[in-house]
Amino acid sequence: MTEEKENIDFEVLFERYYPGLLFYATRFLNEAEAKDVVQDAFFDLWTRRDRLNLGAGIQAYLYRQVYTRSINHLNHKQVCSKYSGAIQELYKHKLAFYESTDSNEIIRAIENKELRGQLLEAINELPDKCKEVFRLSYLQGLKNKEIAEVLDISPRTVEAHMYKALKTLRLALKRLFLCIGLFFLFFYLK
Amino acid sequence: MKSELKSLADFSRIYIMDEKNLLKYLQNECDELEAARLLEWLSESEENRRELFRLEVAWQLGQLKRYSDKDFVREQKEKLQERIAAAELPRRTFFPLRMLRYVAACVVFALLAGGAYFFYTSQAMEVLTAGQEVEQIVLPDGTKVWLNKNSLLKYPKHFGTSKRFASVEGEAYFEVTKNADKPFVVETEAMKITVLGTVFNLNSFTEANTASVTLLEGEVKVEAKADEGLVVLSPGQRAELDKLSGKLYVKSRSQAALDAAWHNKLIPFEQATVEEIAKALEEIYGVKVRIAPDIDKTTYSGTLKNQGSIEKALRSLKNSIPIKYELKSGEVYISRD
Repeated sequence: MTEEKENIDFEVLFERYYPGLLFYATRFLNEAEAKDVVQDAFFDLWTRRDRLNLGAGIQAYLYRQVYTRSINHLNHKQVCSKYSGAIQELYKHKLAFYESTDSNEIIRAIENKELRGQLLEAINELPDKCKEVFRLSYLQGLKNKEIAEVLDISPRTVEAHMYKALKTLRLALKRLFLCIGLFFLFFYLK
Repeated sequence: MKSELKSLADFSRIYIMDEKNLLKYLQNECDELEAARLLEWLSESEENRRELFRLEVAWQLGQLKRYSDKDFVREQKEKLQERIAAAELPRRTFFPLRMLRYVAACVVFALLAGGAYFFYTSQAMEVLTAGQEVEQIVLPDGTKVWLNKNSLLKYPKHFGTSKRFASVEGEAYFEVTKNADKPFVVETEAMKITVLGTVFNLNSFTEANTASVTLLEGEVKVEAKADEGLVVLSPGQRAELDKLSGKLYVKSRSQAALDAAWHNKLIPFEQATVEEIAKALEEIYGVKVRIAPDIDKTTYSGTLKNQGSIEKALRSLKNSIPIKYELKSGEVYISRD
Protein backbone atom coordinates (compact mmCIF):
# COMPACT_ATOMS: atom_id res chain seq x y z
CA MET A 1 0.00 0.00 0.00
CA THR A 2 2.72 2.41 0.95
CA GLU A 3 4.73 1.37 -2.07
CA GLU A 4 1.76 2.00 -4.31
CA LYS A 5 1.34 5.45 -2.88
CA GLU A 6 5.02 6.05 -3.40
CA ASN A 7 4.71 5.02 -7.04
CA ILE A 8 1.83 7.38 -7.61
CA ASP A 9 3.75 10.21 -5.99
CA PHE A 10 6.72 9.49 -8.17
CA GLU A 11 4.54 9.47 -11.29
CA VAL A 12 2.95 12.76 -10.31
CA LEU A 13 6.37 14.20 -9.70
CA PHE A 14 7.56 13.03 -13.10
CA GLU A 15 4.58 14.46 -14.96
CA ARG A 16 4.87 17.72 -13.07
CA TYR A 17 8.55 18.39 -13.70
CA TYR A 18 9.52 16.43 -16.81
CA PRO A 19 8.64 19.08 -19.48
CA GLY A 20 10.43 21.93 -17.69
CA LEU A 21 13.50 19.87 -16.91
CA LEU A 22 13.75 18.64 -20.48
CA PHE A 23 13.51 22.22 -21.72
CA TYR A 24 16.16 23.27 -19.21
CA ALA A 25 18.49 20.53 -20.39
CA THR A 26 18.03 21.64 -24.02
CA ARG A 27 19.63 24.96 -22.98
CA PHE A 28 22.92 23.05 -23.07
CA LEU A 29 22.33 19.86 -25.03
CA ASN A 30 20.50 18.63 -28.08
CA GLU A 31 17.12 17.03 -27.55
CA ALA A 32 18.26 13.40 -27.56
CA GLU A 33 21.03 14.08 -25.06
CA ALA A 34 18.66 16.16 -22.94
CA LYS A 35 16.18 13.28 -22.77
CA ASP A 36 18.91 10.95 -21.52
CA VAL A 37 20.09 13.42 -18.89
CA VAL A 38 16.58 14.05 -17.52
CA GLN A 39 15.81 10.36 -17.44
CA ASP A 40 19.06 9.71 -15.58
CA ALA A 41 18.13 12.39 -13.03
CA PHE A 42 14.72 10.81 -12.40
CA PHE A 43 16.20 7.32 -12.27
CA ASP A 44 18.74 8.50 -9.73
CA LEU A 45 15.95 10.08 -7.71
CA TRP A 46 14.09 6.77 -7.74
CA THR A 47 17.06 4.76 -6.51
CA ARG A 48 17.69 7.24 -3.71
CA ARG A 49 14.08 7.80 -2.76
CA ASP A 50 14.55 6.06 0.60
CA ARG A 51 17.39 8.31 1.67
CA LEU A 52 16.19 11.61 0.22
CA ASN A 53 13.69 13.70 2.02
CA LEU A 54 13.41 16.84 0.00
CA GLY A 55 9.84 17.95 0.43
CA ALA A 56 9.45 21.40 -1.09
CA GLY A 57 13.07 21.43 -2.18
CA ILE A 58 12.44 18.81 -4.83
CA GLN A 59 12.15 21.33 -7.68
CA ALA A 60 15.46 23.01 -6.91
CA TYR A 61 17.06 19.61 -6.42
CA LEU A 62 15.89 18.28 -9.79
CA TYR A 63 16.95 21.38 -11.71
CA ARG A 64 20.34 21.32 -10.03
CA GLN A 65 20.69 17.63 -10.92
CA VAL A 66 19.82 18.27 -14.55
CA TYR A 67 22.21 21.22 -14.73
CA THR A 68 25.12 19.30 -13.22
CA ARG A 69 24.50 16.26 -15.39
CA SER A 70 24.26 18.43 -18.50
CA ILE A 71 27.55 20.16 -17.72
CA ASN A 72 29.21 16.81 -17.04
CA HIS A 73 27.93 15.59 -20.36
CA LEU A 74 29.29 18.69 -22.09
CA ASN A 75 32.69 18.32 -20.46
CA HIS A 76 32.73 14.70 -21.41
CA LYS A 77 31.95 15.58 -25.01
CA GLN A 78 34.33 18.58 -24.91
CA VAL A 79 31.80 20.41 -26.99
CA CYS A 80 33.35 23.82 -26.34
CA SER A 81 36.61 22.93 -28.02
CA LYS A 82 34.96 22.21 -31.33
CA TYR A 83 33.65 25.75 -31.68
CA SER A 84 35.70 28.77 -32.75
CA GLY A 85 37.10 31.22 -30.20
CA ALA A 86 34.25 33.76 -30.06
CA ILE A 87 31.45 31.19 -30.05
CA GLN A 88 33.27 29.30 -27.35
CA GLU A 89 33.54 32.52 -25.33
CA LEU A 90 29.81 33.11 -25.76
CA TYR A 91 29.17 29.63 -24.48
CA LYS A 92 31.31 30.27 -21.42
CA HIS A 93 29.27 33.40 -20.70
CA LYS A 94 26.14 31.36 -21.00
CA LEU A 95 27.34 28.71 -18.59
CA ALA A 96 28.39 31.44 -16.14
CA PHE A 97 24.90 32.90 -16.42
CA TYR A 98 23.32 29.56 -15.57
CA GLU A 99 25.84 28.99 -12.79
CA SER A 100 24.82 32.28 -11.14
CA THR A 101 21.61 33.07 -9.27
CA ASP A 102 20.19 34.26 -12.60
CA SER A 103 19.38 30.60 -13.32
CA ASN A 104 16.69 30.86 -10.65
CA GLU A 105 14.70 33.36 -12.66
CA ILE A 106 15.01 31.12 -15.73
CA ILE A 107 13.66 28.19 -13.75
CA ARG A 108 10.88 30.42 -12.50
CA ALA A 109 10.06 31.51 -16.04
CA ILE A 110 9.88 27.85 -17.05
CA GLU A 111 7.82 26.75 -14.08
CA ASN A 112 5.48 29.71 -13.87
CA LYS A 113 2.53 29.28 -16.19
CA GLU A 114 1.34 32.82 -15.69
CA LEU A 115 4.58 34.29 -16.93
CA ARG A 116 4.57 31.97 -19.92
CA GLY A 117 1.04 33.08 -20.65
CA GLN A 118 2.14 36.70 -20.65
CA LEU A 119 4.84 35.92 -23.14
CA LEU A 120 2.31 34.20 -25.38
CA GLU A 121 0.07 37.22 -25.09
CA ALA A 122 2.88 39.45 -26.29
CA ILE A 123 3.28 37.19 -29.29
CA ASN A 124 -0.44 37.26 -29.92
CA GLU A 125 -0.31 41.01 -30.24
CA LEU A 126 1.98 40.76 -33.24
CA PRO A 127 0.47 41.53 -36.66
CA ASP A 128 -1.13 38.43 -38.21
CA LYS A 129 1.49 37.55 -40.80
CA CYS A 130 4.30 38.24 -38.40
CA LYS A 131 2.61 36.07 -35.77
CA GLU A 132 2.14 33.24 -38.22
CA VAL A 133 5.82 33.30 -39.13
CA PHE A 134 6.94 33.51 -35.55
CA ARG A 135 4.65 30.78 -34.27
CA LEU A 136 6.08 28.36 -36.82
CA SER A 137 9.50 29.08 -35.41
CA TYR A 138 8.46 29.41 -31.79
CA LEU A 139 6.08 26.52 -31.41
CA GLN A 140 7.14 24.17 -34.18
CA GLY A 141 10.84 24.91 -34.24
CA LEU A 142 10.98 25.38 -38.01
CA LYS A 143 13.99 27.02 -39.66
CA ASN A 144 13.64 30.24 -41.69
CA LYS A 145 14.02 28.36 -44.95
CA GLU A 146 11.33 25.88 -43.97
CA ILE A 147 8.97 28.64 -42.93
CA ALA A 148 9.48 30.36 -46.30
CA GLU A 149 8.56 27.11 -48.04
CA VAL A 150 5.53 26.41 -45.85
CA LEU A 151 4.08 29.90 -46.25
CA ASP A 152 5.30 30.32 -49.82
CA ILE A 153 7.06 33.63 -49.13
CA SER A 154 10.65 34.70 -49.69
CA PRO A 155 13.28 33.96 -47.00
CA ARG A 156 13.92 37.72 -46.81
CA THR A 157 10.29 38.32 -45.83
CA VAL A 158 10.54 35.61 -43.20
CA GLU A 159 13.64 37.31 -41.83
CA ALA A 160 11.89 40.70 -41.72
CA HIS A 161 8.99 39.19 -39.75
CA MET A 162 11.40 37.52 -37.40
CA TYR A 163 13.18 40.83 -36.65
CA LYS A 164 9.86 42.41 -35.86
CA ALA A 165 8.84 39.53 -33.60
CA LEU A 166 12.19 39.63 -31.88
CA LYS A 167 11.84 43.34 -31.16
CA THR A 168 8.42 42.81 -29.62
CA LEU A 169 9.69 39.88 -27.62
CA ARG A 170 12.61 41.92 -26.28
CA LEU A 171 10.25 44.60 -25.00
CA ALA A 172 7.86 42.07 -23.52
CA LEU A 173 10.76 40.34 -21.81
CA LYS A 174 11.86 43.49 -20.08
CA ARG A 175 8.42 43.72 -18.54
CA LEU A 176 8.30 40.02 -17.86
CA PHE A 177 11.57 39.72 -16.00
CA LEU A 178 10.67 42.75 -13.99
CA CYS A 179 7.65 40.74 -12.90
CA ILE A 180 9.84 37.73 -12.15
CA GLY A 181 12.11 39.96 -10.12
CA LEU A 182 9.18 41.31 -8.11
CA PHE A 183 7.87 37.78 -7.73
CA PHE A 184 11.20 36.68 -6.38
CA LEU A 185 11.40 39.65 -4.06
CA PHE A 186 7.92 38.87 -2.81
CA PHE A 187 8.92 35.34 -1.89
CA TYR A 188 12.14 36.54 -0.39
CA LEU A 189 10.39 38.98 1.91
CA LYS A 190 7.86 36.40 2.87
CA MET B 1 24.65 68.79 -30.07
CA LYS B 2 26.66 67.31 -32.83
CA SER B 3 28.15 64.66 -30.59
CA GLU B 4 24.69 63.85 -29.22
CA LEU B 5 23.44 63.22 -32.75
CA LYS B 6 26.46 61.11 -33.45
CA SER B 7 25.91 58.95 -30.39
CA LEU B 8 22.26 58.58 -31.28
CA ALA B 9 23.26 57.42 -34.74
CA ASP B 10 25.77 55.04 -33.17
CA PHE B 11 23.15 53.77 -30.82
CA SER B 12 20.63 53.04 -33.55
CA ARG B 13 23.31 51.44 -35.72
CA ILE B 14 24.38 49.21 -32.89
CA TYR B 15 20.80 48.48 -31.97
CA ILE B 16 19.88 47.34 -35.49
CA MET B 17 23.05 45.38 -35.86
CA ASP B 18 22.28 43.64 -32.62
CA GLU B 19 18.82 42.66 -33.72
CA LYS B 20 20.20 40.90 -36.76
CA ASN B 21 23.01 39.43 -34.79
CA LEU B 22 20.70 38.29 -32.06
CA LEU B 23 18.53 36.48 -34.52
CA LYS B 24 21.57 34.72 -35.93
CA TYR B 25 22.56 33.69 -32.44
CA LEU B 26 19.08 32.54 -31.52
CA GLN B 27 18.86 30.50 -34.68
CA ASN B 28 22.27 29.02 -34.03
CA GLU B 29 23.78 30.43 -37.22
CA CYS B 30 26.37 32.83 -35.86
CA ASP B 31 29.56 33.13 -37.87
CA GLU B 32 32.87 34.14 -36.31
CA LEU B 33 32.42 37.88 -36.91
CA GLU B 34 28.87 37.95 -35.60
CA ALA B 35 29.90 36.00 -32.55
CA ALA B 36 32.73 38.49 -31.94
CA ARG B 37 30.31 41.45 -32.17
CA LEU B 38 27.90 39.80 -29.81
CA LEU B 39 30.75 39.05 -27.43
CA GLU B 40 31.75 42.70 -27.47
CA TRP B 41 28.18 43.69 -26.68
CA LEU B 42 28.00 41.15 -23.85
CA SER B 43 31.17 42.44 -22.27
CA GLU B 44 29.67 45.92 -22.03
CA SER B 45 27.39 45.12 -19.13
CA GLU B 46 25.92 42.49 -16.91
CA GLU B 47 22.50 43.64 -18.10
CA ASN B 48 23.34 42.81 -21.73
CA ARG B 49 24.38 39.34 -20.71
CA ARG B 50 21.15 38.83 -18.84
CA GLU B 51 19.14 40.13 -21.75
CA LEU B 52 20.75 37.79 -24.24
CA PHE B 53 20.27 34.62 -22.25
CA ARG B 54 16.80 35.55 -21.07
CA LEU B 55 15.92 36.26 -24.66
CA GLU B 56 17.32 32.91 -25.68
CA VAL B 57 15.08 31.15 -23.17
CA ALA B 58 12.04 33.15 -24.20
CA TRP B 59 12.76 32.52 -27.86
CA GLN B 60 12.72 28.80 -27.36
CA LEU B 61 10.13 28.61 -24.62
CA GLY B 62 7.58 27.55 -27.24
CA GLN B 63 9.28 24.15 -27.23
CA LEU B 64 7.93 23.72 -23.73
CA LYS B 65 4.47 23.33 -25.17
CA ARG B 66 5.68 20.36 -27.17
CA TYR B 67 7.44 18.86 -24.14
CA SER B 68 4.29 19.30 -22.06
CA ASP B 69 2.21 17.23 -24.45
CA LYS B 70 0.48 14.54 -22.36
CA ASP B 71 1.25 11.66 -24.74
CA PHE B 72 4.88 12.69 -24.98
CA VAL B 73 5.28 12.84 -21.21
CA ARG B 74 3.52 9.50 -20.75
CA GLU B 75 5.80 7.92 -23.31
CA GLN B 76 8.87 9.21 -21.50
CA LYS B 77 7.45 8.10 -18.18
CA GLU B 78 6.92 4.59 -19.49
CA LYS B 79 10.52 4.49 -20.68
CA LEU B 80 11.67 5.38 -17.21
CA GLN B 81 9.35 2.81 -15.66
CA GLU B 82 10.75 0.13 -17.93
CA ARG B 83 14.24 1.05 -16.86
CA ILE B 84 13.24 1.00 -13.21
CA ALA B 85 11.52 -2.36 -13.63
CA ALA B 86 14.63 -3.79 -15.30
CA ALA B 87 16.82 -2.52 -12.47
CA GLU B 88 14.45 -3.78 -9.78
CA LEU B 89 14.09 -7.25 -11.26
CA PRO B 90 17.13 -8.96 -9.71
CA ARG B 91 16.40 -7.95 -6.16
CA ARG B 92 12.68 -8.38 -6.16
CA THR B 93 11.25 -11.89 -5.78
CA PHE B 94 8.04 -12.21 -7.69
CA PHE B 95 7.27 -15.71 -6.46
CA PRO B 96 7.52 -17.11 -3.01
CA LEU B 97 10.65 -19.22 -2.69
CA ARG B 98 8.74 -22.51 -2.66
CA MET B 99 7.01 -21.63 -5.91
CA LEU B 100 10.37 -20.76 -7.39
CA ARG B 101 11.62 -24.23 -6.50
CA TYR B 102 8.78 -25.83 -8.48
CA VAL B 103 9.42 -23.53 -11.40
CA ALA B 104 13.10 -24.45 -11.34
CA ALA B 105 12.25 -28.15 -11.22
CA CYS B 106 9.91 -27.76 -14.21
CA VAL B 107 12.54 -25.89 -16.18
CA VAL B 108 15.18 -28.54 -15.46
CA PHE B 109 12.78 -31.31 -16.41
CA ALA B 110 11.81 -29.55 -19.65
CA LEU B 111 15.46 -29.07 -20.53
CA LEU B 112 16.26 -32.72 -19.84
CA ALA B 113 13.24 -33.95 -21.78
CA GLY B 114 14.08 -31.66 -24.69
CA GLY B 115 17.70 -32.78 -24.65
CA ALA B 116 16.71 -36.43 -24.52
CA TYR B 117 14.28 -35.98 -27.39
CA PHE B 118 16.91 -34.20 -29.40
CA PHE B 119 19.41 -36.97 -28.65
CA TYR B 120 16.78 -39.59 -29.43
CA THR B 121 15.88 -38.20 -32.86
CA SER B 122 19.30 -37.01 -33.89
CA GLN B 123 21.19 -40.26 -33.49
CA ALA B 124 22.31 -40.88 -37.05
CA MET B 125 22.64 -44.31 -38.64
CA GLU B 126 24.88 -44.88 -41.61
CA VAL B 127 25.12 -47.79 -43.98
CA LEU B 128 27.92 -47.87 -46.51
CA THR B 129 28.26 -50.56 -49.14
CA ALA B 130 31.64 -50.97 -50.70
CA GLY B 131 32.24 -54.38 -52.23
CA GLN B 132 30.06 -56.29 -54.61
CA GLU B 133 27.21 -56.81 -52.19
CA VAL B 134 23.82 -55.16 -52.27
CA GLU B 135 22.50 -54.60 -48.77
CA GLN B 136 18.92 -54.56 -47.59
CA ILE B 137 18.05 -52.28 -44.68
CA VAL B 138 14.77 -51.92 -42.82
CA LEU B 139 14.23 -48.42 -41.49
CA PRO B 140 12.51 -47.69 -38.13
CA ASP B 141 9.15 -47.10 -39.85
CA GLY B 142 9.31 -50.41 -41.73
CA THR B 143 10.45 -48.86 -45.01
CA LYS B 144 12.70 -51.23 -46.93
CA VAL B 145 15.79 -49.93 -48.63
CA TRP B 146 18.13 -51.82 -50.91
CA LEU B 147 21.45 -50.12 -51.14
CA ASN B 148 23.52 -50.76 -54.27
CA LYS B 149 27.30 -51.09 -54.39
CA ASN B 150 29.43 -48.10 -53.35
CA SER B 151 26.48 -46.25 -51.88
CA LEU B 152 25.79 -44.56 -48.59
CA LEU B 153 22.49 -44.34 -46.72
CA LYS B 154 21.95 -42.08 -43.71
CA TYR B 155 18.87 -42.10 -41.53
CA PRO B 156 18.03 -41.28 -37.91
CA LYS B 157 17.65 -44.06 -35.37
CA HIS B 158 14.22 -42.61 -34.66
CA PHE B 159 12.19 -40.53 -37.07
CA GLY B 160 10.89 -37.11 -35.97
CA THR B 161 7.25 -36.30 -35.42
CA SER B 162 6.40 -34.51 -38.65
CA LYS B 163 8.64 -35.99 -41.36
CA ARG B 164 10.83 -38.97 -42.09
CA PHE B 165 14.23 -37.94 -43.40
CA ALA B 166 16.89 -40.04 -45.06
CA SER B 167 19.76 -39.26 -47.38
CA VAL B 168 21.48 -41.23 -50.10
CA GLU B 169 24.68 -41.04 -52.05
CA GLY B 170 24.74 -43.56 -54.84
CA GLU B 171 21.89 -45.88 -55.76
CA ALA B 172 19.05 -47.12 -53.61
CA TYR B 173 15.70 -48.79 -54.08
CA PHE B 174 12.94 -47.78 -51.70
CA GLU B 175 9.73 -49.47 -50.65
CA VAL B 176 8.33 -46.76 -48.42
CA THR B 177 5.82 -47.69 -45.74
CA LYS B 178 2.64 -45.69 -46.18
CA ASN B 179 2.08 -42.91 -43.70
CA ALA B 180 0.19 -39.91 -45.07
CA ASP B 181 0.82 -37.88 -41.90
CA LYS B 182 4.57 -38.25 -42.08
CA PRO B 183 5.96 -37.70 -45.56
CA PHE B 184 9.14 -39.55 -46.33
CA VAL B 185 11.86 -37.26 -47.65
CA VAL B 186 15.01 -38.53 -49.32
CA GLU B 187 17.79 -36.11 -50.05
CA THR B 188 20.78 -36.47 -52.29
CA GLU B 189 23.40 -33.84 -53.00
CA ALA B 190 21.37 -32.68 -56.02
CA MET B 191 17.75 -33.66 -55.40
CA LYS B 192 15.03 -33.90 -52.84
CA ILE B 193 12.32 -36.53 -53.20
CA THR B 194 9.14 -36.36 -51.17
CA VAL B 195 6.91 -39.41 -50.95
CA LEU B 196 3.99 -40.63 -48.93
CA GLY B 197 4.22 -44.34 -49.57
CA THR B 198 5.66 -45.71 -52.79
CA VAL B 199 8.26 -47.83 -54.47
CA PHE B 200 10.99 -46.09 -56.36
CA ASN B 201 14.57 -46.39 -57.42
CA LEU B 202 17.02 -43.60 -56.82
CA ASN B 203 20.30 -43.23 -58.64
CA SER B 204 22.49 -40.36 -57.56
CA PHE B 205 26.22 -40.95 -57.62
CA THR B 206 28.23 -37.89 -56.77
CA GLU B 207 30.63 -38.33 -59.68
CA ALA B 208 27.92 -38.87 -62.32
CA ASN B 209 26.55 -35.99 -64.36
CA THR B 210 22.98 -37.13 -64.06
CA ALA B 211 20.87 -38.31 -61.16
CA SER B 212 17.61 -40.13 -61.64
CA VAL B 213 14.51 -41.32 -59.88
CA THR B 214 12.33 -44.05 -61.35
CA LEU B 215 8.91 -44.54 -59.87
CA LEU B 216 7.41 -47.99 -59.78
CA GLU B 217 4.34 -47.46 -57.60
CA GLY B 218 2.50 -44.53 -56.05
CA GLU B 219 3.55 -40.94 -56.40
CA VAL B 220 6.70 -38.96 -55.67
CA LYS B 221 7.63 -35.33 -55.84
CA VAL B 222 11.13 -34.65 -57.12
CA GLU B 223 12.88 -31.34 -56.53
CA ALA B 224 16.22 -30.24 -57.85
CA LYS B 225 18.13 -28.60 -55.03
CA ALA B 226 20.05 -26.07 -57.08
CA ASP B 227 17.09 -24.93 -59.11
CA GLU B 228 13.42 -24.37 -58.61
CA GLY B 229 12.55 -27.35 -60.74
CA LEU B 230 9.89 -29.65 -59.33
CA VAL B 231 8.13 -32.59 -60.96
CA VAL B 232 5.56 -35.08 -59.78
CA LEU B 233 6.11 -38.55 -61.17
CA SER B 234 3.56 -41.17 -62.05
CA PRO B 235 4.42 -44.85 -62.01
CA GLY B 236 6.59 -45.82 -64.96
CA GLN B 237 8.12 -42.40 -65.22
CA ARG B 238 11.68 -41.49 -64.62
CA ALA B 239 12.97 -38.05 -63.59
CA GLU B 240 16.47 -37.27 -64.75
CA LEU B 241 18.41 -34.36 -63.38
CA ASP B 242 21.19 -32.93 -65.49
CA LYS B 243 23.47 -31.74 -62.71
CA LEU B 244 25.41 -29.41 -65.00
CA SER B 245 22.45 -27.45 -66.33
CA GLY B 246 20.28 -28.00 -63.27
CA LYS B 247 17.40 -29.06 -65.53
CA LEU B 248 14.99 -31.77 -64.61
CA TYR B 249 13.58 -34.00 -67.37
CA VAL B 250 10.77 -36.49 -67.15
CA LYS B 251 10.93 -39.60 -69.33
CA SER B 252 8.52 -42.43 -69.79
CA ARG B 253 9.99 -45.77 -68.98
CA SER B 254 8.19 -48.77 -70.40
CA GLN B 255 10.32 -51.17 -68.42
CA ALA B 256 10.63 -49.10 -65.28
CA ALA B 257 11.36 -52.18 -63.17
CA LEU B 258 14.60 -52.64 -65.04
CA ASP B 259 16.00 -49.64 -63.22
CA ALA B 260 15.49 -51.52 -60.01
CA ALA B 261 16.50 -54.95 -61.26
CA TRP B 262 19.77 -54.82 -59.36
CA HIS B 263 18.15 -54.80 -55.95
CA ASN B 264 16.68 -58.28 -55.87
CA LYS B 265 18.52 -59.88 -58.76
CA LEU B 266 15.18 -60.39 -60.50
CA ILE B 267 14.43 -58.93 -63.86
CA PRO B 268 10.68 -58.66 -64.29
CA PHE B 269 9.08 -58.60 -67.72
CA GLU B 270 5.50 -57.79 -68.47
CA GLN B 271 4.19 -58.41 -71.96
CA ALA B 272 7.57 -57.77 -73.39
CA THR B 273 8.66 -58.74 -76.90
CA VAL B 274 11.95 -60.52 -77.49
CA GLU B 275 13.31 -57.24 -78.80
CA GLU B 276 12.41 -55.48 -75.57
CA ILE B 277 13.89 -58.27 -73.47
CA ALA B 278 17.06 -58.09 -75.52
CA LYS B 279 17.34 -54.35 -74.92
CA ALA B 280 16.91 -54.90 -71.18
CA LEU B 281 19.66 -57.50 -71.15
CA GLU B 282 21.87 -55.18 -73.14
CA GLU B 283 21.34 -52.53 -70.51
CA ILE B 284 21.80 -54.74 -67.49
CA TYR B 285 24.89 -56.61 -68.62
CA GLY B 286 26.42 -53.93 -70.81
CA VAL B 287 26.73 -56.29 -73.76
CA LYS B 288 25.65 -55.52 -77.31
CA VAL B 289 22.69 -57.71 -78.29
CA ARG B 290 21.67 -58.22 -81.93
CA ILE B 291 18.40 -59.80 -83.01
CA ALA B 292 17.69 -61.73 -86.15
CA PRO B 293 15.03 -60.09 -88.34
CA ASP B 294 12.82 -63.21 -88.26
CA ILE B 295 12.03 -62.83 -84.56
CA ASP B 296 8.25 -62.35 -84.12
CA LYS B 297 6.34 -59.89 -81.96
CA THR B 298 5.02 -62.38 -79.44
CA THR B 299 5.04 -60.92 -75.90
CA TYR B 300 6.14 -62.72 -72.77
CA SER B 301 5.62 -62.07 -69.07
CA GLY B 302 7.72 -63.40 -66.22
CA THR B 303 10.74 -62.85 -64.10
CA LEU B 304 14.29 -63.58 -65.03
CA LYS B 305 16.85 -64.14 -62.32
CA ASN B 306 19.87 -61.90 -62.54
CA GLN B 307 22.67 -64.43 -62.52
CA GLY B 308 25.77 -62.31 -62.88
CA SER B 309 26.47 -63.02 -66.58
CA ILE B 310 24.44 -62.62 -69.74
CA GLU B 311 25.17 -66.14 -70.80
CA LYS B 312 23.55 -67.61 -67.67
CA ALA B 313 20.56 -65.30 -68.15
CA LEU B 314 20.18 -66.37 -71.78
CA ARG B 315 20.38 -70.02 -70.81
CA SER B 316 17.45 -69.54 -68.40
CA LEU B 317 15.55 -67.53 -70.98
CA LYS B 318 15.98 -70.24 -73.59
CA ASN B 319 14.04 -72.60 -71.32
CA SER B 320 10.86 -70.57 -71.59
CA ILE B 321 11.16 -68.70 -74.89
CA PRO B 322 11.87 -70.39 -78.25
CA ILE B 323 15.15 -68.68 -79.06
CA LYS B 324 18.73 -69.59 -79.62
CA TYR B 325 21.72 -67.41 -78.96
CA GLU B 326 25.27 -67.12 -79.96
CA LEU B 327 28.16 -65.23 -78.36
CA LYS B 328 30.68 -63.86 -80.79
CA SER B 329 33.47 -61.38 -80.04
CA GLY B 330 31.66 -59.77 -77.11
CA GLU B 331 28.34 -59.53 -78.88
CA VAL B 332 25.21 -61.64 -78.57
CA TYR B 333 23.09 -62.80 -81.50
CA ILE B 334 19.55 -63.95 -80.85
CA SER B 335 17.52 -65.78 -83.45
CA ARG B 336 14.48 -68.02 -83.71
CA ASP B 337 14.86 -71.52 -82.51
